[in-house]
Amino acid sequence: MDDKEIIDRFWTRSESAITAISDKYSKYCRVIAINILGNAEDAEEVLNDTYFRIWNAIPPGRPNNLRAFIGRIARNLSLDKLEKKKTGKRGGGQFDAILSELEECIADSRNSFDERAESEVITAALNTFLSEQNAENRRIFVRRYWRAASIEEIAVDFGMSVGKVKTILFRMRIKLRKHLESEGIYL
Amino acid sequence: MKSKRLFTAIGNIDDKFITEEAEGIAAVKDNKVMRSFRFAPWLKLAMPVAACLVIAVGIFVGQSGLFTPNGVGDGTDFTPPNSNSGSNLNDSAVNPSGPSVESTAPNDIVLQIAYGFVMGDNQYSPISFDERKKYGLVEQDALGSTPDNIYVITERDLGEKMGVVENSADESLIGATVYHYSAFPDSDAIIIVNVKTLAQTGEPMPQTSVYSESGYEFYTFAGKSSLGSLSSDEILEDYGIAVKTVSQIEVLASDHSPVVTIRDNVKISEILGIIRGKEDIGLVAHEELMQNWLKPYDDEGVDRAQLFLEVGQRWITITSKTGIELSFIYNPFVRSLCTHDSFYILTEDDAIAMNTLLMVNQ
Repeated sequence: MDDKEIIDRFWTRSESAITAISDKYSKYCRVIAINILGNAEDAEEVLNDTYFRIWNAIPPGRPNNLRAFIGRIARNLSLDKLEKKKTGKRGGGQFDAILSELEECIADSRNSFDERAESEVITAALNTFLSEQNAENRRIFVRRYWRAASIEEIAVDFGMSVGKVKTILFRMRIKLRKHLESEGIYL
Repeated sequence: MKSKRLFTAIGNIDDKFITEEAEGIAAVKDNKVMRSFRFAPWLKLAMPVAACLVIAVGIFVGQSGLFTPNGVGDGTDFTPPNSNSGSNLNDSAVNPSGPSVESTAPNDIVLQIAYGFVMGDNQYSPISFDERKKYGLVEQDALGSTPDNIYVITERDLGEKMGVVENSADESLIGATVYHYSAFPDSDAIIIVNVKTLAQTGEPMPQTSVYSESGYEFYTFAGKSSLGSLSSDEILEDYGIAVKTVSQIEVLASDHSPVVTIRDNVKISEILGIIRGKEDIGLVAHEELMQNWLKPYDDEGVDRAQLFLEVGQRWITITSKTGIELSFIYNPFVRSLCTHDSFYILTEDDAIAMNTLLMVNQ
């Protein structure tokens, strides 16, 4: 079933919309959730919450890109869940490793501004940065830092050595840091 | 945390990048040649030492035949029981520098079985031909997996239920039940997965199926997943490695040729003693260490120096009595040990002792 038809079902409040979106995107969202949470049980909860959020969001929303829309919800819910669960314990998923890598991109704090505005500014800078990268590097970056995939998984899926993936990400992080600094972004 | 703000901001990047990534992956998954990399033997061996392979992988993939002694292969078992071909396909299918997949593989299904999976913290991969020998699933003089010598798993082989497949590149595996193998009931190293084939529903197996008709497949432990930055003590603890639990330590040269296998408890204790008590210095610091070591060499000499650095490496595989293996790469020239995403530096005294134990000729 195509995305437009699924969205139409949400608009008509048909419960079959949940089945349809689950059939099409449950595995995609589950993998994102497991990568962040490192726990299948928690990921399942996130998946259910994701459907609930979408049910409440459509209507009035009519997302242009359903995959990105549902993936983003699953990602944010996973982050929220992880935040709640974190009690000083070591995270089981990719999240801790990813945060540690991203620290390299951040310069020392100099400014403080509204969190939402800040996020929008950073996102705009990220969009510019990503537009300037070649397609393969961009996909690897998004797979690692948006979908929270493990480096080993990326290496296998892109047919590269683990070392090459690490090197690509390492160089991109350095470039990103410079780009953020050039935009005056010091987190 | 600052990086969390960045991670959150990345969550809002333009939809077009998310679509591009998803479409790119789909394209890669449809690419048979790429699929041949999925469980190349070097990758399986490399999984626990993945982070260390920034330099190491180059030399491994650059030398053909390192993992295929006598042309038979140490490779992952790619021959499906219902394949019409009795030939061993391992060499071409798994060696990235070998002949192209198209040239020898009769059809695509030989490659698709090469998916592993994750359950809890553990990563499992399809059993290799050599592992079949190790566990007595094939005659010692067999030259490769064929439809005639593939061990057919029955319900009698199923031990206690261990859990379910939580994640896999083969999405049809997710949710499949995982069992201990009754012949090794205490081992987490060899397990059986109910691959949920149509055989169980009484329907005939489609010709394109990648799994056996019995509906069960052997998998073996490949490493812990998502360990992140850990001290050496934490890594050893996660793998249940202690002097009394270790059965052997195997040392390989960088070309994967055997150097020494250590079973003596005193030596095992000494090696573990050297590994213990180290904090992770991180990938960046380790790369800097490597680059600093290479700095004195000019453009022409640096390639040879890098080769020298690689050739000196030792691969250390610690095997527990339950069959679980933990691998490290030891770089004697920079005195570093690495495993997973963690990097440790040895003192000069420790490095001297380690060189002796691992028979490093500097």
